[in-house]
Parts: sequence; C-alpha cells; structure tokens
Amino acid sequence: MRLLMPITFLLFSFSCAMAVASGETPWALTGWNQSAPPILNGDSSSVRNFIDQFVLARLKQQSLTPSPEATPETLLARLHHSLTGLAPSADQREAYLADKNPRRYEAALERLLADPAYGERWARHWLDIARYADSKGYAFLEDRHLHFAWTYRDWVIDALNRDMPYDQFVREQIAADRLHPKGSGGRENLAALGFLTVGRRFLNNQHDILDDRIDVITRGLLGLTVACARCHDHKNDPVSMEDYYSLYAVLAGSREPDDLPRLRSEPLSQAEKDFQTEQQRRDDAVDHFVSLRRAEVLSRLAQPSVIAPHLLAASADAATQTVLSGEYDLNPAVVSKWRDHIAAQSDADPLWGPWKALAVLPAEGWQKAANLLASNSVRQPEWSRALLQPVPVDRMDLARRVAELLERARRGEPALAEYKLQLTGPKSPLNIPLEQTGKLLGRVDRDHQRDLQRQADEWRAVTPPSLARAMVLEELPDPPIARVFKRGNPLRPGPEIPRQFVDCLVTGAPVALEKGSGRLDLAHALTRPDHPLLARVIVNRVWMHHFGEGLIRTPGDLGNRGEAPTHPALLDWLARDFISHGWSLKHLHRTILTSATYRQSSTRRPELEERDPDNRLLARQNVRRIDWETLRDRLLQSAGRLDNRRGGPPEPVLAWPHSNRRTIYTYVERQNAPGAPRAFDVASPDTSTPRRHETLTAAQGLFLLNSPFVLEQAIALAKRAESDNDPVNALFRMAWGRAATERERAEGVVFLKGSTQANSGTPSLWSCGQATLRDGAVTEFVPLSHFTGSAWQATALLPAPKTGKMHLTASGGHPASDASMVVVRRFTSPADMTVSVSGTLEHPDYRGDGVSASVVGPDGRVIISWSAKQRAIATIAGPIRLLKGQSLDCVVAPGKDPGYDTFLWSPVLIDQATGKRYDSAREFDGPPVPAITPMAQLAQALLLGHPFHFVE
Amino acid sequence: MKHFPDRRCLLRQSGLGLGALALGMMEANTVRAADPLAAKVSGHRPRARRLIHLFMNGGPSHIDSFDPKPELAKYAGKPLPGPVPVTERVTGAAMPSPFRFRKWGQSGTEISDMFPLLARHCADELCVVRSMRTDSPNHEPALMLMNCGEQRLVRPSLGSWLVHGLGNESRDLPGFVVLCPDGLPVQEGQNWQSAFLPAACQGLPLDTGRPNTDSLVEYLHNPALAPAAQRRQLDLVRRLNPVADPLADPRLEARIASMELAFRMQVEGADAFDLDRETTATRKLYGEGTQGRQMLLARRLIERGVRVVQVWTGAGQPWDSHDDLEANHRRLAHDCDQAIAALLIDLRRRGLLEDTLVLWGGEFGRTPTVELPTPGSNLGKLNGRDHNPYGFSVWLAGGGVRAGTVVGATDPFGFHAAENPVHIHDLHATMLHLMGFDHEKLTFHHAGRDFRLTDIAGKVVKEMMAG
Repeated sequence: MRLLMPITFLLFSFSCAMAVASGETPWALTGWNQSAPPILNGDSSSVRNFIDQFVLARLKQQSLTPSPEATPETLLARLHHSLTGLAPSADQREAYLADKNPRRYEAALERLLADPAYGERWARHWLDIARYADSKGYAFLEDRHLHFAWTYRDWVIDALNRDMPYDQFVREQIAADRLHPKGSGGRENLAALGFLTVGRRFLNNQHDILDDRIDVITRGLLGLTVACARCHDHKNDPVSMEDYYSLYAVLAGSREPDDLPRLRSEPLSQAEKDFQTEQQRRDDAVDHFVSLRRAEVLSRLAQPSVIAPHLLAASADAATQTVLSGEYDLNPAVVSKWRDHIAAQSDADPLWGPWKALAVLPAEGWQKAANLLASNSVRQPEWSRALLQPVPVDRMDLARRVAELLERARRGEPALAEYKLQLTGPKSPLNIPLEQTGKLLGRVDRDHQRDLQRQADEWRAVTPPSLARAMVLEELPDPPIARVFKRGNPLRPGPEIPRQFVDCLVTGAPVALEKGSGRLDLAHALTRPDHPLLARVIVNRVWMHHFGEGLIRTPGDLGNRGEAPTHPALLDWLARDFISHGWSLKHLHRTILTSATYRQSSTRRPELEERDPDNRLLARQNVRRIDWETLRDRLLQSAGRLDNRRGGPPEPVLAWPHSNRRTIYTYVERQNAPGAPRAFDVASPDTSTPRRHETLTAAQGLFLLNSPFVLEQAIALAKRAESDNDPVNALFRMAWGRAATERERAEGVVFLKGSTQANSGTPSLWSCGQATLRDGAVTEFVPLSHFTGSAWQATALLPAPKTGKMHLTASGGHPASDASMVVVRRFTSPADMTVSVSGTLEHPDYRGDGVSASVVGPDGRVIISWSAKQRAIATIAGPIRLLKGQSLDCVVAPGKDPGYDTFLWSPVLIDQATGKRYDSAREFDGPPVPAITPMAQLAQALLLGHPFHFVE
Repeated sequence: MKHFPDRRCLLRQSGLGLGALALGMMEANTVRAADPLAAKVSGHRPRARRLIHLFMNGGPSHIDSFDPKPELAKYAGKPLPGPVPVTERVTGAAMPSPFRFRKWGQSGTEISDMFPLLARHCADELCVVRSMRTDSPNHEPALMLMNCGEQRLVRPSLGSWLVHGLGNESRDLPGFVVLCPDGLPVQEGQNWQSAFLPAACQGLPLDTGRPNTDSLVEYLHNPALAPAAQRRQLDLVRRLNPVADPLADPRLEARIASMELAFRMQVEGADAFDLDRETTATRKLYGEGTQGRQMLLARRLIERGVRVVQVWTGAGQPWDSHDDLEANHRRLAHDCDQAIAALLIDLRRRGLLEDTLVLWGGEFGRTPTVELPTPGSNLGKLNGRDHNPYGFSVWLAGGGVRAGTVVGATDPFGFHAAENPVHIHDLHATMLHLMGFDHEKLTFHHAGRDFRLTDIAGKVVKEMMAG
C-alpha cells in the first residue's frame, strides 16, 4: 500500500483520529488482514461456520457466552425480514413449524433468496446508496419528473435477483454504455447508468451535477469522501484536488443524450408506433420553434440598423450602455461578442481603425475630432471614404456607416472581400453556437418554448412501459482535459493533470483513466480485486442490514471520526470469502444467515447489559424496528391487499385511491417529499445514505392513528379476520404473525364488547370534477378520481396530456391545458333554496393570459362569467333557484395560453332565505372514510402494537 | 456505557420522557446518540430561545423602506456616476424613492411611510442592519444562502440547525414550522430542508391561505374515531405490550410514549391553530387579513414551545417588483405592516420578546437604478428596480438585539454595503450567537467532515447585540 502523502493529508474515513495522530497507517488503507478463523478450544457446539469462530473467540476473551438460538417462529420471521422485508404468510409459518427436516431453516433461506421479493427489498437498500428519486429536485418551470428513473430501479431489482456478481454490478453502473456498445448484447444493462444520472439537477449547473456524481461513486461505493477535495486538498484524508479533478474530468467527458435509448428491442405494435410518432411531433415542435426563432433573431441582428447600436454599446462605458439598452433592443451576449471582435481588430485597419479611434471619444467635441481624423487619414482604399466623408455627426452616425460597409462586404462587393465573413463566417460575432441559442431568445420566446416543451414532457410522462428508455450517459468525442480548478472555481483552471484513479487506493504505479473519457477504466479500477475497500464496504453494509449494526458501525463514514471495526479479521475474512465466491451477494447472505451468531436470540441478559450494552461483541441478536417501506408493505400484507406485480412506472405513495403495490414502486419526490415517509426516516434522496436515521416522533404516531391509508388497511384486515371461526385470534395471527395468548385474546374480546361503530361525518355538499364547456353549456361532468391529501386531480401524477396540471384544492387550483375542458366545483343542493354566489377570483401569476370562471345553473347553461389576468376580481352572482338535489357548478377554463394558470377561487353560496353559508373552501373534503367497526378498531390497535413494528 | 439505563430512567419519568421524545430525534439505536446537544452548546448564555423569521420573499427594496438615499434625487433620470455593478438584468438611470422617510422614536431610526405602524410603534425595538450583502443577484441561490448558508449544494437550513442544536421544547408540536399562504416560495421545500440532519429537524410547511387552520397539520384528526375510542385503542396497546421486563428494549417504551404524544397533539396541537381562542382585541390588533392570521399563529406557536417559525409573505416571490415598485411595495407592506407591528407589540406585552429573536428581510435588496425593459420579463414601465445583492437592509428585534440602532451603511446611492458590511454568514453567526451557539462549534459530522451553517466563514457582529 502506497502512502506517500504527508500525514496532514490522511483524510481517510476509515482511519480513526488516533491513527492519524500517531502516524499509523489508517485501518482502511491497510492490506488484507490475513488472520484465519481462530481455533476454539473446548466446546464448539455453537459454531456453525467461521463467523461464529471469530465471534466466539472474542466473547471468550471477555468471558461472555453467546445467546441460545431464537425460537423457530422468531427465526423464520427474522429471516423473512432480513431477505424480503415481508412477514411470512400463515401458510408458510405453519408449514415451517410442522416441517421435521433438520435443514428446514436452510430450505427457507433458499426459498427466500429465490423469491423476487428479495430483489425488491435489497434494491431499496441500494437505492439509498444511489440517492434515488423520480424527480430532479427544484427545476423552476422545467418538467421536474425523471420519467425513466424507474428503469434504473427495476434494473437494480433484477440484477440482485439474478445475483449479478457485485463487481460487475458496480461496473455496469459506471460504464454499461462502454461494456455493451451498440450492436452488442447486454444492452438491457444500460439502465444501470441511472446510478450516475438519477441525482439532483441543481438547475442544470454542470459542476454541481458532476460533484454529486463524484460523491455517489466515492462515498457510495467506497465510503470515501472525495467530494471534500473540490476546493482544497482534503484536510485529514489522503485525497488531493488532483484526485477530485481526475474524476471530474472523467465524468465531464460524458453527456446525457437528448434521445435516450429504448430498453427493449422487439418490433413496435401499431399503438406503440402511434405513441412514438406523437412524441416525435411534440419534440419536433420545440426544435422547430427554436430554430425558426433563432433564424429570425439572427437575421434581425445582421441588419445594419441593428448592428449600429450594438457597436455603439460594445464600445461604450457601462453607464452609457445601460442607457442605450433602454433605447434600443440590444442583445447583451451579442454586444459582448462585438466587443471582443472589435478588440481583436488592428488599429490600422481601414474599416475598424477609425471606429476604434473615435468610438471612445466623449460626445463633446466629437465631430471636431472626427473631422481632424478625416482630414489627416490616408483615404485608402476608396470605399473607406464613406466612413468619414462627409464627417459623421455623431458616434451613431459612424456606427451606421461601419454597419453599412459590413453589409456591402457580406453582399460580396469585391473591394471589401476581406470583410466578407465578418457577418457570416465562423469567427463572426453573429455566429452563435447552437447550444447558446438560449441567449438569442427573449423571455417571450423562452416562455413559448417552455410551453411546447411542457407539451412534449406531458406526453413523455405517459410513455407505455414497453417504450421505456435508459437514463444513459454517452461519451463525448473529445473528452475534456483534466485540470484542477483553483479553490473549486471553474473560472480559474490550473495546468493539465494526468487523469488517474484516486491515488491512495492504488498499490504500485498510478492507474491511468485514459481510454475515451476514462469512465470504463474507472469502472475497472474501482473493482480491482487487489484493493480490499470495495468488498469491505459492501460486506459491512450487508452485515448491518442483518444485524442492525455493521462490523464498522459508521458505514457511511470511514474517515477520521468513523469507528474502527469491532471484528476486523472477521470483516476481511468475509470480504475475501465474498470475492472468492465470485462476488456473490447471495453467497454472502447465506454465510451470514446460517451462522449461529445470526440465529441467536435477541433477548437481553443482565450481564450483557452490564458489560456490553451496545452489543458490540455480538453475544445476542439485535431487535430491529421496521422501516417505512416494510411498514407500508406489511400494512398492505396484513390487509391481504399487497399487489405482487413487479416493476414499472412509480405510483403515488399515499394518494387516494391508494396504491397497493410494494413501497419500492412508489414515487420518490426529491423536492417536496410527502410528510409520512420523511417522518419514518426514509433516506434523503439528496445524498448517498448507507444508513438511515431512526427517530421517534409524534408525526409517526399521527400517521398510524389517523391516516386514511392505515384506517383503510385496518378495515380490510378486520374484514379478512371476520370470516374466520375465531375472528379475534385470526386478527392477531394476521397482524402479529402468531396466535394470541389466552390473556391477549381475552383483552381483545373485552375491547370489542366495549366498542361501538364509528362513522365518518356527512359527506360534503361540494364535489370536484371536470367537464366540457362548449357554446355556453357544460356537459359530461366526471368527478375527479385522485386525491393527494390536499388536491383532487384526474390522474395520479401531474402533468398529464389534455388535463395538464388540472387540479382543485380548498382555495383554488389549476384548469386543464385543453381549452374546451373546465375544472368544476359542484354544489349539490340539500334542499329547495335560492342562493347567491360570492367570492374572489384571482390569477396571481404575473405571466400568462389568465383564466376565466363561470357559474353554471342546474340546466347546464352558463349564468355568468368572469375572467382574471394577473389580478383579482369579485365574483358576485344570483339569485339562483336550486331544487333539492340539483347542482350548481363553479367552473374554471384556461385562457389561450395554457401556462401560468394557477388560480385562487373558492366561492361561497348563501341561502337567501336563511343566510346559511355553503363555503366551498371550508367544506372541501377528501374521499369519505367508511365506517370503522369495533373489529376494525381492534385491528388498528394491533397494527399500533409492538409486535407489528419490531422484529426480534 | 450507561446510556441505555439512563435513557430508560429518563423515560420512566413520563413528563421528562415525553420531553426527550419531543426532541423529535431520539436516535433510537445509534451508539452516538447519547446527547446530541451536549457538545454543541458553546457555553455562553443564550439571549434568545426562539426565532421568528419574517421572510419578505422576492427582495424588498431597502432604498424605499429602511435606508434613505436623498442623493438619488440629484441624479433622477440620469446615470449614476461611476460604474454600475452587474445585476440580474439591465438597469439605467437613478430612480429616487417615491416613499417619504422620517425619523421615528427616541432612537430616531429612519423608516419610510411604507411601514407607518411599525415605524410609529416599534422603531425603538429595531436593530436595522443597512450593510447586508449576499453573493448572488438571482433569487434561487440568494434564498438558499439566506436560509441554508450555501447557494447551491444541499445543506440544512438555519431552522433545522437550531432545532438540531436546541432540541424542541414543545411537547405537542414540531420544532420548526413554516407558514406560507397559498402555495410555496421559489425553491420550495429546500428553504427549510434538514438535508443530512434528522428529518425531524426539517420545517413543517403549513398553507396559511387555507381557511381551516386546524387542518394544517397532516393527519391531526381522525376522520371517524372520537378521542375516547382512540384512548381505548392506546390503552389496549399498553395492556397487550406491558413493559414489565426491565431488560426490554427501551425503544418499546419510547414508541408508546411517541403515540401518547401524538394522541395529545390532536387536542393540544389543534388548540395552537385555533385563532378563535384569541380575544377580539388581540385579533383586531393583528388585523383580519392573511398576514394578520399568520403572524398571530406564529405567536401562538412559539408560545407553545415551537423553536423556529418562518413566516413568508406568500407563494412565488411577491416582493419582486421589477415594475410598478411603488404600487406593489405599498400594497405588500400595507398587508403586513399592522400584523408585524402587532406581533412585536404582542410579544413585548407577553414578555416573550425578551427571549424571542425576530428577523425581518428578504434574500437581497433592489437597485437604486431603474430597471430597463427586457422583452417578456417586465412590462417596460421604467418604474421598478432590479435585484441588488451588494447592499440591502434587514432588521432584527427581540432577544439580545441592540434595540433602536442602525448598523452599517451603504454608499450614497444604496448600491454597495460600504460601512461595516455584514455578509449572510455574519448574520447567521450573530444569530447563532444570540441563540447560545458558537457558529464554529455547532457542527454535524457527515460524509467525512464536520459541516456547519457558516461553512468556513462568518463573524459575530457585536454592534448588533445588546451589551
């Protein structure tokens, strides 16, 4: 192991502070610990494999004894939790307990490793590392979905289920595009590149995107914090800025293509072809508009009358420039290009010389100076006389003459041949590269472009799964040269440095990252079996998921403050065993799960509490609290509703109607994550998370007590149990995975006797829907079908084709993007009455062309309409006669421009006879909750109980 | 190695146990959880225990509110002498303030007629910092810097740091609550993100535009079950899961306690949001509008132990007056002037101002020069101001703040902080100091290094602090 860095460089997270201070080699950088499993003298009855030899040897040193094996029932539940995150079904449990085969445990283990639910569970652990999300984070007005992130999630599930060797698993995620070039096999692995591409987008700041990717590679795979070296050499660890910018250059050598590759290669059905054609049409509309506007703007910028003020601004001081900007429509980017262009011209140039001399002179006395120059200059060539004769009146006059001459040159006047390309050639200030087209478009153009882009993205959002695409990277033809940015500032690049792998992880000569962008070399360098780090890190994390704690208890921090391993020789023996068994994760699971150490009871013992309260020596198992995904999955499972379909686009996590799919298939929102998963400590999708926090908060309790999701599962669980001969006992079995004790059953029966059915309140008189508005009539009312917790909408995710961002909340909403469609707040009258309508319609955005609102009577005819654009107006109407059961609709339609249409409008109806108010905001309500029977109340209580939340 | 028994003892005394739970971040199984507070407290006496941050999002104009610039009148309609710094868009000639300033209170603090009630009643409470500066002329990075101390990368917000450092003294409510009517500000939830700190430190956003204030907290009410029925459920859970075994995992008891806490929050949390429980006089003091409602709610929340309340003007960036600055600023200020003055008066009356820090301000200020037309971006009326990160004003009041003072100054035109410049990091360092922390010591170890709110910068500004 090479350790040439000065000691102040020792940044490594494996090292403990003491090692750094004393100058010892940090633990993580040492080579393999070669210690073989210790031979145990005497009783070895509790040894099942080498893990136990290591663990027992340490226990013996401390004169501690291991715990006895847990009961078969506990073991089965633990095994299921470890491998699939689900609970064993009643049948599985009974079959297991009845099985007389002495190897029934091993058989169950194999069954679970072969269960696709295994990949779903372990993929979630990996997605924490990969800071997975289905959205970009804050994206201003851009489409914020990562539409195909799920193809990466599904690839991880599949790779784990197939037990892809871990080194290959890593290589695919770094360089699948290079491992499987076009025309070769294995292209389905392209989705693996999501590991790099599903991160936050930082408003498209490339430096931050690359920094995020460096972090996910180094901290995610190696537990090493290279990202610290972005602005300076790492203060404590042996990572230098050269290491950082080597990786930076490698990653900067690739880009995400506009046209992502399809994952399946089968021929398309007609429907798929139609979908693609429409997608193409929408994507082309964006390109067409942009190139059209680009051409128009460039042609305007080439007119002499437009060039002239640009020249003036290019040669003016800042204050004059700002005044000029007020008078003329200047493009700042083009002004700056003209400035560079002028600066590059010779002072003796017959066209530019006079301009350079005169443009900077003050207005006072300007003409005199021009006159002087005109009379003293050699009037050669002939055409140049037009510049100064007759003497120009002011700078603008001169600028126009320069511009006219450039125009004559462009038209091909032979005498001006040397200026021919100044308006059209590659070095012309008007040669704006395609990728900088944005600089040419004003905000009006950009808004329109965004709107077209939105339409293309809405369509993309409903791509059939069979047309899904991989979020790949592709290498640039000319990968950039590696340079250190001084203090992390891209405007201060240093000299060229060699592209090579992180130095402290290399034994011997530097490992160059040369070929192409160097990404494939990086993939190989990361997975070289001669360095223990990659294997140590993953083995430690797998161990952590089986025991609740890793052998290194700080799995994300192997640096100065990280802890040293509790069993270093065991960790290395396991890691080498893992590598020698083909980097097989399933082999690793098998080894750990068949050990006696894993199979111990988790019961606490007084002497252990006294001497090893943190259970570092592993004299027992740890009780585990289930995480968010397991909680939600098990709620569905106990309700008998868990939907076992695999893969595909994500579904909302808690919106109504509730998705019954496993939680790994729910949408991960990066920006405004829903409260419940966050409350239960899901990993932040902003940072690679090897280990989650575990907190206890009231928000968790509120979710379990009151959320419609939990209530719905409790009701379903109760229904399931009711069909049993002994419903109370059945409830315990289904919720807790075991039969009730006599006492528990009696408690349950007493509870039922004392409970009464609870009904939810009366349904709201207001409902939300969509309808068609044509010729002053509203027809085809359809209730909105999805409720997010605060909004009703027509589809699970927004935006969607036609309906766009359409939704209604208590106070307002957004109309459809289709102008013939209206979003409707419908009041159904509880009695015969005459009402008046009041309220305020507001269009708060300062952009867009506003919305229009109407009140529609029971006959479907519009009674009155208003429109609001960037303002608020009162909406007063009535009196309107309603008979009992008749409806009054308050509808909102978009303007011609379907963007920026968020509105506020929550009308209030007032019964003219009684003065009673029907307030659409106050009475806004989600879907009704069905009655909660005593059985359902008991079911919910069991779902609140410890046995549901802890695994022993 | 006694921390399990210790924690158990803590939990046994149910009141304290709940208090500990209310920290919201009992790291139930980590070995380093022992006491996340102990090492963080710097040792000096905290002057404030709570923070209310009134966030005027969009960037209110300092030149028209708290930083009079009579010099501008001389250049009205003409370019300012000297170079004009780069801002987001192009600006032109000098634009004198259409607002009228005068000196207020005994301190003589100058405030314009944009905030007449605040000026009349609270001028002597304020410490106006006129020399603020930030690093970016764009909303998103400037918001991130003001809230999280970093422009682009994901870092915990000031509120999250405070909840992490102080714990949450509320037994029934989250530690950090964000109030914003009718939608979210630009950059949305990132403004109150906890990043790598535990999720319980994150701000809980509430839409104060909603008419039913008691529906603000998610899942606060059961749609069908009455509290009595839920009480029976929890009692059953307790009976079915007796914690008789002294060796039982302490997390079991802690979990029961967290559900008891949730149960109580249904009643007491709802109380915090029920403005109808205030007297008519108090409600009149704050005014009837959205701003009055949310300021009053802010007071009710901190009164009940919420550590940090951030109150936003509204969705998007309301103060961003690229056009019609006078009309827009007058309207926005009129909406909140009474409510803000009422908040300060009410806090003072209740003895809460002494240990509550109040911060008012936006993410940057505005230019002394008029914004020139840009196609599509403004209406080209030549009566608005562009963003100005080089100099702007904020004010503080309450706990430990030197009341009735003005700190620093901008240049004669209000473009640059000229005298005693205060960077956002310095503001943060000072606020943390007032709340009892050394900004260099309030750290969290993550990804191989110790992170802090002020990164590697920040100095405590003595002039802002009472002696």
